[in-house]
Amino acid sequence: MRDMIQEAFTAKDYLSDIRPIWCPGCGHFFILRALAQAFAWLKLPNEQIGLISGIGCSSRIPAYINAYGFHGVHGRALALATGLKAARPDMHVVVAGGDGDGYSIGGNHFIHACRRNMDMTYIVMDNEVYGMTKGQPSPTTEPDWESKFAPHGTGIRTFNPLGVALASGASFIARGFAGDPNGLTKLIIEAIEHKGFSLVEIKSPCVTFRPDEKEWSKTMRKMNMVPTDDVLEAAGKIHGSDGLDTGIFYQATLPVFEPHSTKEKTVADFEKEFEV
Amino acid sequence: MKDRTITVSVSGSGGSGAVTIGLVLLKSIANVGFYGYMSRSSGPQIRGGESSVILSFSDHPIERNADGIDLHFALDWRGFERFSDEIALNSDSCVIFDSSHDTLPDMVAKIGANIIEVNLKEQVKQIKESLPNSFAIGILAAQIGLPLESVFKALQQTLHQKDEAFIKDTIRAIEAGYTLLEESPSLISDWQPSSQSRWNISGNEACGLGALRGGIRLVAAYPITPASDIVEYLAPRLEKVGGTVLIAEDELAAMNMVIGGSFGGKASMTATSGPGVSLMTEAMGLAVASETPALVVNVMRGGPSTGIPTKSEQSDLNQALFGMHGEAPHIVVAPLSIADTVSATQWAVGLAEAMQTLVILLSNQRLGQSRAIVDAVPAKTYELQRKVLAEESAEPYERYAVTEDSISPMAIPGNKQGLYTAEGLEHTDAGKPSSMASDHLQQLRKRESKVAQFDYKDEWAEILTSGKRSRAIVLTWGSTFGSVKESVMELNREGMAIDLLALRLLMPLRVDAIKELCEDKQVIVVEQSYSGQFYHYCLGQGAIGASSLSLAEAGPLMLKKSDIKHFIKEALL
Ligand SMILES: Cc1ncc(C[n+]2csc(CCOP(=O)(O)OP(=O)(O)O)c2C)c(N)n1
Ligand code: SF4
Ligand SMILES: [Mg+2]
Repeated sequence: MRDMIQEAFTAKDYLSDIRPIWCPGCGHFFILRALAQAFAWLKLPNEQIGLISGIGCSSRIPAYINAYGFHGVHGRALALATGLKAARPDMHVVVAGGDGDGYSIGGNHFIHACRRNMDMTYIVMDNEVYGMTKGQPSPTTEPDWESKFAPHGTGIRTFNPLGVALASGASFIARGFAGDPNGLTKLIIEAIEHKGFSLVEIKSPCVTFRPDEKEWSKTMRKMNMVPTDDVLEAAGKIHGSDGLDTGIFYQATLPVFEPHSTKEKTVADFEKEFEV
Repeated sequence: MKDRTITVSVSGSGGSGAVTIGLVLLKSIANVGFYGYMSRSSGPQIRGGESSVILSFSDHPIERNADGIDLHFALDWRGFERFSDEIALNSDSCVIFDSSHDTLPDMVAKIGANIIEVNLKEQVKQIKESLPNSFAIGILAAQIGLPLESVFKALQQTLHQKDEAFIKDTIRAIEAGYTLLEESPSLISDWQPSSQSRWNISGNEACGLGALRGGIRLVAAYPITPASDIVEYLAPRLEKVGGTVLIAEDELAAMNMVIGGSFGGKASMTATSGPGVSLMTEAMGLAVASETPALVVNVMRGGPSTGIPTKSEQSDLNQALFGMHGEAPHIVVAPLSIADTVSATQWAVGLAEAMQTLVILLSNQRLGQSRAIVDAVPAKTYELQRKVLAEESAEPYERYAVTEDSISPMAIPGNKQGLYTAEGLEHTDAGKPSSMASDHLQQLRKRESKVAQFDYKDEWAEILTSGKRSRAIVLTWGSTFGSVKESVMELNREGMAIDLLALRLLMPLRVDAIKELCEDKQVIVVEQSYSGQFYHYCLGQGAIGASSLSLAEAGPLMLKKSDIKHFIKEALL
């Protein structure tokens, strides 16, 4: 892991002047900051960044970054990003969104984006709740968390995004914490630099609907994981973790899906095939 | 054969080769300078089920099957009852069947057709590597009056990968079949061969070619009958002209991939059928709201739900027009024939690009999976391009700025001057999310007016006038055009003066133009849907009056020319 050096580019160069709609103290602010910082550190040209999202408090993020962005529909950000990356391999494609967006309604795209292992970064701002729709349980919510939607809790075990990502073929799998801006920035930098699909699952407290998550600043362990490229070892680490460990769990060189096209033919060549 | 059309059908159980016979005969007729059209139908089995083809041949372009069957060849009778609706045998038909498998079914016997039995098992024994369908090709070629050389040439074009010994024996079998029955007069001796350059093309291939001509560079799709052929046509070709086909995990993904590719600056499309469109609908609205060009091809099949996957209907019209939530002005286009599919698709790509919105192209199974010999379709220039932000633009960029034509320049990622976030939320002209009434109204107007004021030129419809003071006008759209056109032309020849208006542009509906054409005429609306979706749409939009009549028939059977003619005649009594 590299040291943070002050560069000519600063986070400000990547932040737009639109004011976030987020509640004061929301974890998403720290992720926005870390993302801008990572872009600055990598000196990515703003116009070469494509920041794609779905719907949710978290998914509002493209408007707050000074780049090309797409605020699409709920759960489909990864699919939209796949189209962009296929059409424009030169773009740095970053996808961002919430736990509901990515693991519930977009769950199928999550699996297949991991499988495809295209060169893009997926940042999940996981607050273990649906923030935007005001506090319903998400796939990462504990089964006994009581809410209006589920008065006795969901009674359903939580989704393990890192485990699913590993099983599905993602080549970079990390967990970060919004309350550790430096560690988080480093993770995002590593993820963007990684060639392949990189998942950065970030615990991001929803201070409004999950005030209990403020505790995370005491319980989350900062960057305590040592990366491995061994799947079995990574599986052990992922499934052995209580969810409070952060850092890169797995990073490997795996085949990256890149559509390869040539210009060896013209449409007129194909028209000849029809001639009788 | 007074209209110089002959119609031949072939049926058989799985693997008997009915489709191969059809393909060879179609190529043969093309080789002697004529035209043809082949529709196909199969049972529900994936492989090994019964299948049938119906071929209509003529010395002029033909894109439909005639109502009746002149000649039918049954390789066997297994499962024939499934086709008895489509293969309309009558007492004038000649039916040849292979009697080595089974006897003539009662349902065929009672039709009173001219029956000829052949024992192909006996024949096959005499030539080592031969197959019954090779004899059938020979028999049918002789009955039609096709010269053997045209058939051999067609065979070579069809079986190019097979080994030589097999081809040799197949040729011997065709020759044997050719002389098996008593010599009959050629059915095509007085036909005039065409000197036009012609194509052998299916509707789905035509769609693929139109997409290539239109400049499509990204296709994302999930397999579905009867649309997959489009993707299968494009997959090996698009990648050789600088494009890509993405295999999506589902249609939700496919549509969003299309939007992503288009946002990246590449003309993008997907091809699907009704169930797939249902899944795409939310993202189709995103294309409209975010003003991202996108083409969705719907090769319609019977619905609702999984419906009739292998057969045709025009019943997704309402879905295409009104399927999206909120108010989402977009374009709906329908090709009128196989040949027309090439240009209609190219046009559809151009419309999406030029207006930065969603275009739905409504084809259907009959159009898509039928194959025809058509006059070569020249490439058109529609001059429809995406309006993009110049690299050197100096002004502050507003992605959704209201302009004179309501189309704002789109910044393509990579352009330093155009950083913006495309929005599915309602937004200001600068693209900032907004729920203000004034912003909503401004952007609603913008999205509506760009498609409303666009110049669709003459492409919006095909108009045939009787040349006299017509008493009636028939209004139709899509694949029913072929049957309606022939019906109207025949009625005109019989002395009735009737006009025909076939819409290529279904949304926005050219209400004023339609009204003008329909003025003082009895309007008859013909379509293939049970509930008369097109009729009600035209009525609701005020394009036609309350006295208009509706001939609406559910699929999957093709609307018969005789039924259309009868309906029109009754209407004008
Ligand atoms: C198709 C669809 N279904 C439901 C919604 C309502 N909706 C908006 S955001 C959201 C959940 C957001 O949760 P998450 O992705 O975790 O983001 P957060 O707000 O917690 O950051 C839901 C259910 C929607 N916009 N679209
Ligand atoms: S509701 Fe929760 S997630 Fe949404 S902005 Fe407020 S604190 Fe953040
Ligand atoms: Mg959430």
